[in-house]
Amino acid sequence: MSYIHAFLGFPFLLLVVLQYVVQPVLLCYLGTLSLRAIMAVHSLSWGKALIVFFLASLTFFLLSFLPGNIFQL
Amino acid sequence: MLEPEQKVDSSEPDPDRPHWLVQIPKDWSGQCFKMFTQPGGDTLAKEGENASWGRICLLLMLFLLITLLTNQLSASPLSGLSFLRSALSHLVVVFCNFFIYMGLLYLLAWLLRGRGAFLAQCYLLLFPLILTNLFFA
Repeated sequence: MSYIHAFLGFPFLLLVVLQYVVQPVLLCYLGTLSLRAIMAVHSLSWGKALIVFFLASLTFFLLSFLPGNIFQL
Repeated sequence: MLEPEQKVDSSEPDPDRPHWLVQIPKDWSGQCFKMFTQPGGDTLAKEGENASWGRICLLLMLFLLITLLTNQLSASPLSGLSFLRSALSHLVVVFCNFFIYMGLLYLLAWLLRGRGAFLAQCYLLLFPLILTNLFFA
């Protein structure tokens, strides 16, 4: 591979790394932080905090299917 | 012999104290950095004590601002009256969605015998929510 190809490929590689490595890791970290916050506020265990988070997200998702909902713009 | 107590005039501003417009972002950035680098139970519980409705409203406004900015930077930016209408509808939707979701979380935590404060929960969960919105919008 020539130098010019390597030079043109670098931004693409950077984008791929950002999208498939940095973003998922960051999302996991922020999710974990939210769980830690629920655990700290309510004095819950990891398992219970995970159940709370999952059920709340699922209910919120299901609520968005209500007719005439205000959840979407 | 004891000196008589000097009266301190509290109405005079402290010259060493920075302006609140400087102080609040400085405090928040410090707290945010601490929360993200040392997310232990103690740090979060301590931070939860600083929760107030004013701070929550300001953070929600920041959340709204980020949402509007990311929408404007998207493929079809709005202008004039349509932007104002979009901003108002975003305001209503962001506030409603946030408090409905927080209410659900609080209710479920309460059902699992969690006895925390709603205010602290809203305040602490706003930090990761804003960053998620910022990075993934």
